[in-house]
Amino acid sequence: MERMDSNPTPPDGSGTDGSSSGLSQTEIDALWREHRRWVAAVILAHMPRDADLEDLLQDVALLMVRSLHTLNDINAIRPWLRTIAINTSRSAGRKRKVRMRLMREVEDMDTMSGAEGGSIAAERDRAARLARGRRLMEAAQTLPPAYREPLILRAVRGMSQKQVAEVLDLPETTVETRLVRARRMIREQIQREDAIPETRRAGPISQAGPA
Amino acid sequence: MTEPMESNEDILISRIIDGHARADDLRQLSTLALADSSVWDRLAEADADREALCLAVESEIAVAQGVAAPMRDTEAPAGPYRFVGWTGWMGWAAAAAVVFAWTVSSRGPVSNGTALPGAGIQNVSLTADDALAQYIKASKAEDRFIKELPKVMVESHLAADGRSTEVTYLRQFVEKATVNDLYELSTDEHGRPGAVRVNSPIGTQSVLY
Repeated sequence: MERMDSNPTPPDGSGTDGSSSGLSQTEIDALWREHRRWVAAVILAHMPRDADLEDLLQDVALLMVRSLHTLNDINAIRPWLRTIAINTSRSAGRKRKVRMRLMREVEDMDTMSGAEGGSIAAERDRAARLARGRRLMEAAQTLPPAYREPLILRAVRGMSQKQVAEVLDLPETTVETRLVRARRMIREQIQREDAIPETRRAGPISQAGPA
Repeated sequence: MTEPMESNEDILISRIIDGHARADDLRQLSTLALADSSVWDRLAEADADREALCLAVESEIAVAQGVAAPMRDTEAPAGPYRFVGWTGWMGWAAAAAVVFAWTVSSRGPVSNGTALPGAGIQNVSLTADDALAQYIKASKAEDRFIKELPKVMVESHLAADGRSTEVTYLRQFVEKATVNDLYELSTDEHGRPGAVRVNSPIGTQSVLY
């Protein structure tokens, strides 16, 4: 249930002395495969809206490989990778660009073409859920980072609350509290948006302090 | 907007949709629902939103499947190394494919004379993986196969069994071939499509794609 990648691999420190300096290329590859999905979620939570997630993720992969020897304890890789991901996301403001997204294309084509491999109703249902999900994600982007990040990390399939707490280096109870508040805030944000004309929809929620 | 204080209902619903609810949490929510049955609607809505957000986030982070860890500097070419994702070379690869496809169709298969295993046999029962493995082996024997690029996932969703994940992905090979003529698809002055020889030295030229 706690699968975090379609290519699960063991490393995460097991079988090593805790040092990262002696990892082979194969072990580094496996380490990256194990963590790249949630790292992508961290970037998603912090990057500028028009930045390219794939580009930033490649930058993080490069920095990880180059800096891995500086990590003293491989068991601390989650907070370490998160720091790299956040710093990379923040630097993205200087090199924003818009690129066509393969996923969007594929989804749009699927939605338009209807039902190859599934019923039209199922495709429409999925498209509707995806649209709702994107709206929730838009609303999540307006939350203070302390609430946005755990919410998006928790939406990574297979990532438990405990793992989110490890990445954020926070107690699980704090993560739980922030998730509850984040969900309430985006629900209220959407309710407010629905209550006013689209042209008057407002910007970000004011930066409230974390729990 | 000010930071909201979470209600007991919010906490209970959040625990339930996150799969962390204890029996006492369920009892408490049931008690709340006795006084206000719309609690169940809010639970269903929260769970649907959680699922929708998962779908959207997974859709966004699916690109991660195509991002590999670069080689370490000691094993990589000098200078800053950057993994080239499929999007980086898609343009010229597509162009090369057009040229090469035309050449092959006009000249017939390029071969150094090595017979492909199973060539000419129509009714061989092979799995797709077996057939591909045979192809790669033969392609290597012809000095044509260079490498397989990392798979790129383009979509994933819950499989029909409700437990596993069905993924759609691109699988790509880098190969080379030696051809005598290169053509590209173009149009004449009337806009009619046709083949135009690429202006390059006549003789042997390698085309990679």
